[in-house]
Amino acid sequence: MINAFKENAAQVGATVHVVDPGEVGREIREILEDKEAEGVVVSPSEEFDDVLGHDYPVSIVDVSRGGPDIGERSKAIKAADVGITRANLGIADLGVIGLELTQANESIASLAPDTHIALMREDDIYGGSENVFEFLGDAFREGRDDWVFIAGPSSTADMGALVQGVHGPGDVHVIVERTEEGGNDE
Amino acid sequence: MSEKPEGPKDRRYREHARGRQRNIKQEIEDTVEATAVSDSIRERTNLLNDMREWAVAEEPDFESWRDQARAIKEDAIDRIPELIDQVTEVIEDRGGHVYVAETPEEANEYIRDVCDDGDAELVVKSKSMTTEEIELNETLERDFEVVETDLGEFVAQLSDERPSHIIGPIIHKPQEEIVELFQDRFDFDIPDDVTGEGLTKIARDVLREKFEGADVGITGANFVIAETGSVVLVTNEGNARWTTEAPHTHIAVAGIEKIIPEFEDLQPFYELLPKSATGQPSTSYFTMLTPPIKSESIDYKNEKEGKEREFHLVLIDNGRTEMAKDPALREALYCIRCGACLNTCANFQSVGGHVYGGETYTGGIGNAWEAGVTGKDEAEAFNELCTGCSQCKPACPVKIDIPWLNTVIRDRLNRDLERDDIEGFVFEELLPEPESQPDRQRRFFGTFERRARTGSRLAPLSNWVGNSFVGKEVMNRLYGFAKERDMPGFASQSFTSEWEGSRIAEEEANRKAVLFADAYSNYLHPERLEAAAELMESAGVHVEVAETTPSGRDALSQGLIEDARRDAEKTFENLHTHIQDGRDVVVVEPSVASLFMDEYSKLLDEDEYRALEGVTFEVGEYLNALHDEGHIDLPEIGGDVYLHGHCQQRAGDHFGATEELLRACGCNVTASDVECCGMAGSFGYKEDYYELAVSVGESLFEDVESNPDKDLLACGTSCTTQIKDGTGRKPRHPVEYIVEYL
Repeated sequence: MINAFKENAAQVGATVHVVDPGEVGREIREILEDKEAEGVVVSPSEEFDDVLGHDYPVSIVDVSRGGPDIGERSKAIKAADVGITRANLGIADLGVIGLELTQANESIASLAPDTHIALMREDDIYGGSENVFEFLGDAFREGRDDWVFIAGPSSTADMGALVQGVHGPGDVHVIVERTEEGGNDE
Repeated sequence: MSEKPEGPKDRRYREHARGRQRNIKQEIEDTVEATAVSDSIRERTNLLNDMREWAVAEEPDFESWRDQARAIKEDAIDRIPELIDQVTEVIEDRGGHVYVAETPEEANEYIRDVCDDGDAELVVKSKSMTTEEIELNETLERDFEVVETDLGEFVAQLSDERPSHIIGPIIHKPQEEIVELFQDRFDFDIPDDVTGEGLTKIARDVLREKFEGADVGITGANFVIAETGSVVLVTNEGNARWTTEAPHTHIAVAGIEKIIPEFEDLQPFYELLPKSATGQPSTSYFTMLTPPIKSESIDYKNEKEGKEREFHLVLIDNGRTEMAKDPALREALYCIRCGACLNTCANFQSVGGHVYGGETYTGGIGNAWEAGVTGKDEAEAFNELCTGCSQCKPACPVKIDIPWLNTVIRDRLNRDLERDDIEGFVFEELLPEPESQPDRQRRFFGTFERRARTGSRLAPLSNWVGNSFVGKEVMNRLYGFAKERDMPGFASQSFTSEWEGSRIAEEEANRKAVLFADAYSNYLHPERLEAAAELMESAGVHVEVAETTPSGRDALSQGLIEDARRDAEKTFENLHTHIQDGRDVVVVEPSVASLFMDEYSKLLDEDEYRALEGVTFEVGEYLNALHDEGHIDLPEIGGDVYLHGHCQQRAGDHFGATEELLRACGCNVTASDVECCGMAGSFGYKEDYYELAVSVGESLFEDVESNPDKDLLACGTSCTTQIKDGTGRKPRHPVEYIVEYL
């Protein structure tokens, strides 16, 4: 399903990087260097600790409430050119990622900066929308009830031809961590 | 409160106020003349339509999604009060607020109070047609700074215009005009050659500041989920996300018909809406929030903690409860606001939503909405712009029968009008003013089939008189008949008056059929029926000919539903014994074939409709089927042919058979990809709509003219007239063409 996801994500304008386990940090570093990032905000979950432990070229500000004080968070969000969040799920048929929006402020981190990097696990890719909505229905009823599906960069055609990068990011990168090293991407 | 001088915004609202007098003919002429505007509309709607077709063609599950979506809406609209109760309980449990507004005034006052109570100064809005409907901005702008953040709405706000399309508010605006507008409204320098990307960046920077400083964010809602109290927003730009995220107070405004019962009900809509609206497999964002949301409320402007999050769901009735009770209008409540019916519509493509639209709602579905929330006068103004061509039917994701909705509204408008029985003579003083015509016009056009026999009997005199100078004046004054058009030319001998019976005995026949001599073919183009009969006989078919009864096509098109029903019943009676005797029913005029196969479902009993529909064939379809079964030896014609298919034929998917038939004769077929010739029965004969019909026909005329060496064929009576009037070349019906080579 990784290949289908990658293809369909490319169709909606997102770039997918498939990496072996443990290589996520390195991939992030490469993207940050490529983009010459100056300000990065992160909405972490526990699993990002090892990723965040790496030695990065710029400072990364944690904007979940576990991070610095609110004034710092607000400044960092306004100044950031890259935002890093989790992607809780992917939909292969559509190249879409699903992001749960919690108290950790993933929403603004995935919205304000020009570049959004989303970290996803291979195991979390669904084939089509039907199964996703079944899963989500249960999640919503349990109180996990703020979500956004993201299909590539923000866009508009109101000014004539298609323009990418409007009020949301213009560049979306999805890093998919394989379950096993050198796995079969079908 | 002191009287403020009337500003541009006030004027805009007053001009579009209820009860304004509209002059559709003038509006059409003005729009068609403003080429940059009409080109902009045509290009963008066509692009959206093409994208939709492409996206949908890729989807094997599309029909199944449509059925599911339809079923969900049918159920939801049945239970609106219950769903309102459910969603209110769920939201209030979470600390949110729900307000049900009967009227726009109630809604606006509530929202104003919420903003006031919170000491708001800056309000940001994302796109919501419902807030246009209630004219929310007019109220809020008196006390607060209100900024539209959807790019199209942002531009419309800057230029003081109404949105002209359900999802693309400024498709009528050429880019040069937008550049000028920006240069005028902003202080900084904007070069003339700024690109779309450049304009977007300007808007982005301006709006980012507004988002960061906003106190209240107002959105619409594509869907509201009763079970979980969630609000769903389907967007591309990211402004709706900002509108819900940055300000501490979120107000969602939604019509009561937006509520769907369960979370999983979303799935078919998730698949259908983006594809139907813009041809995107999915939009950039599909936001599902259950406010008040969990993310931190941050005051970005002052870089400190924001106020506690507050949420208000304002549900709007404004006539929707009445619509739900109305057996016809309730279907309009299923609409999910994709705009597909606008983009497929030849008339909308030519003039856009400022003409083909009312106070708020535009396009094919817009008429029912205006009838429901504004009033019948507003609906009346643009009701006739729906010609029944039916291109919108296969496009609608929830299978709304839009042409039928518009026919019902037309019928109701007819029955409200005063009966005026003067069928004038040629005395100046007795001729009434053209403006009091609509009912007389509709009854004239709606009874063509009944009069055609007399017209044919009196031909060629009837033709001379009708087309004489005096004749045209009379027709124009009495019936609003466009002087540019000739009357349909009656043939001196109808087909039925000359038919001598089948040469093939029934016992020896391969098949038996009844050829229905529809009034259009019989009295205007009898050679088509002749050719059809000859070709059928050459296939060993025993041909009976049913007498010409009015089919109801004309009455239905003019919104005379009872008359159409009576015609349908008579026609069914006429054909009944033939059907019972196992004969195939063959029809030459495609609009009548479509009538039997589609609209008769609304006019006849179910079993009558099924009996007839099951055995009806349009003539090209029939001959092609005969050929497939090996009964007919088609002549080897070779040669190049240009074929224009009839709109309803295409919508009902019957057009391919005629193409196949011609190819089986060895022809090189160039099929027009223009979906509607613009004539649409009586539409193009009416002086109010003549300019529009010609404008719609332009691309077809150009196409015909760039294929001068091909033999020109068209199936529909209307299409034949339109092409002849527009290019000087008269097309023949495929059967006329093939029979020549037999």
